Amino acid sequence: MTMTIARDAAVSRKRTSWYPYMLIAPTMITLCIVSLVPFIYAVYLSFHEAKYGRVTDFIWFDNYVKLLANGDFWNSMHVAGIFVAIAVPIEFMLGMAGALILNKGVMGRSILVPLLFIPTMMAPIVVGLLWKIMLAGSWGVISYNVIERFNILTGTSIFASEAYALYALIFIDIWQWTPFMMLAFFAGLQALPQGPYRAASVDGAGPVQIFFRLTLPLMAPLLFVIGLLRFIDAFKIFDTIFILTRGGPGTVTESPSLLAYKMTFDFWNIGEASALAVFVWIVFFVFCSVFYQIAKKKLNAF
Amino acid sequence: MTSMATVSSSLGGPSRGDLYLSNLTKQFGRQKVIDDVGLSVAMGEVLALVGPSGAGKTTLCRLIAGLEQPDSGSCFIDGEDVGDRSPGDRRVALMFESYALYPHLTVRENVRSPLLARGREGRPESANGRIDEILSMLEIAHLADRQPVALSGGQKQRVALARALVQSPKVLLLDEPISHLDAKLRHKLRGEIRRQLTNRNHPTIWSTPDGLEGLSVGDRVAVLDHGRIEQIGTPEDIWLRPASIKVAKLFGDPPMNVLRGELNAEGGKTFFRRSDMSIELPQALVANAGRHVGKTVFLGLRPDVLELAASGMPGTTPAQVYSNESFGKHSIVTLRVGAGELVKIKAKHHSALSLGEDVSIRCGAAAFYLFDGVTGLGAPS
Repeated sequence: MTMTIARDAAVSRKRTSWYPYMLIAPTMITLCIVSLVPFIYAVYLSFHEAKYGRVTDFIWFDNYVKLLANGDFWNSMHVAGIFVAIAVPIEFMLGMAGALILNKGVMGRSILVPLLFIPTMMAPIVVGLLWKIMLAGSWGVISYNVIERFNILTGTSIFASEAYALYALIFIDIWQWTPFMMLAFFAGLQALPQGPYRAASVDGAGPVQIFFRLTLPLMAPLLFVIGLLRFIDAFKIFDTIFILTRGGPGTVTESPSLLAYKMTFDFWNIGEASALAVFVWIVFFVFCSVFYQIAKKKLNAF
Repeated sequence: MTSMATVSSSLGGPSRGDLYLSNLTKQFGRQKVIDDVGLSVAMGEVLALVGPSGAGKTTLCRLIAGLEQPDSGSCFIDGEDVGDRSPGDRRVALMFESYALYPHLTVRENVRSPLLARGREGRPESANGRIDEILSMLEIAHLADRQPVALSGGQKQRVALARALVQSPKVLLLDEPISHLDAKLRHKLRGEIRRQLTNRNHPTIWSTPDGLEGLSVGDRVAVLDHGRIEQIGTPEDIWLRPASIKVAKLFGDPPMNVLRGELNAEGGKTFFRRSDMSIELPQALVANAGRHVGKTVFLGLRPDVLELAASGMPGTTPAQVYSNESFGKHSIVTLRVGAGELVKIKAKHHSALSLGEDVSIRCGAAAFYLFDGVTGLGAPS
């Protein structure tokens, strides 16, 4: 009897040691193959001389040194910086404003909400083509009726203008992603507890006070997650730019992703392109960790 | 309709400093949650609003606070009709039964929040002393820097209570303020809070499902059932002259026993009779009950006037033991009489009784309540 108990205990101890790992094994193996292996290969490439499809000598940090001395690289970081700094806050604020309006219970909300999904559901390539046509030089429906009529830009497409091309891309990004932010924030607003709002209204708090002292703090964890996701996504932007400007005119709209693409497939400078990818990853990793720690302290969330 | 008479006699009209409700009615769907409620609470007075859960206590508080709009009737605060005022403009302090704390603020910030929201009570820092005082009265001073998520239900309830008590409103509404505290703390705080509320310059409504709590804290007690006011009166009125069986059963622990029988008059004496029982009623009780003679009535007997007696003793009612609960200081014996009615007896001493045992019930004191056999309303005495 005692022996069986002892053996059972031993079995269950043994069982507990490998059982959880077995449960997560399928996911971990898939993750390793799909994401870790290519990433490690990119790190491997970034430390080697790799040009025109031939991986040769191990050259330590030479690719990184070359990258950091490369004006195009800093230009691309600058482009992405401006892109993110303008697009994300505007999407954020418009999204929040829209969510507050939706939450007030506007007429026909059940029809409006599915419609709002359209820009987000469209493939970025399609979005790009659509806007390319609408803003096409002197015959596009918007460029002819708005841009040419008000003499903002004549005789050329906005995507060919050094001054405006980046802002046109920012505009399209805002068009595409604001509805998504709106719906995400709307879902968050709907999930907030009602009690505190009733208390605030009885206590005589005004709408501004309620928004800044109640809604924003309660929404903070969600705002943080959505904001971070959108920030990373906007920084990585590739497809719309690829379709609309290919980074031009010149390098005015050349984002890091586009630069990496050009380095790899136009100049076959695979080593330096890998160094760029790894560098951007490290920047993100540090940024997100710091941001996460700050959020954890300030928001008491997560 | 004795209850209505009691209600209207206490209504003068809206005047400065008090709370006055007239003919307030609220319906949710088809259900009348508040049905023609009229009452007034004077400045400095505490009205205990007693009713079983679902009686409409919370809805009544929300109507006064302006969180719900009545279907008809009006609400006057400080002599002014507040029907078209938003909740924030009514200057009502409402303690929510569900607490409604701000999850992202600490206990102290939660308590200070109504003062900040109004922004009219001077610099919020000047209220720190008052906040500390209330927090320590409610024994949550040591939790001042915690967030609600780290508190137990009873602690949250006390934070919500502190948030209501810290204000100087025109009406204070406490919706079940101490119902989730443990018994010891509840008894202690009941007295403390009642002390705090005395001589305040605003009316207070204290809602509770616990009849005895209502009797202990209220200057007057209003009994609400199914959205209707059954009776309003002083605690003594409610205890000695309950307007109906419903009211009588809400007060007392365990609740009053109510037996159905007939009122008979014989040779100048009046008896309550049923097949297994015959009790002579005191003259004072039946002086005005002439119209009930020969008719079915209900007799109310509080559990502490009944005594256990040995089975078969003359002048007693036979019964069987249904359950026997010992509380140490006293015991509560539930007995089955007649056709299965249950009668509770609060006995001074615990006696060993086996379930189903035959015993007898005897009336120890001549303290009875008489109710109409059809309407259940109290007979005038």
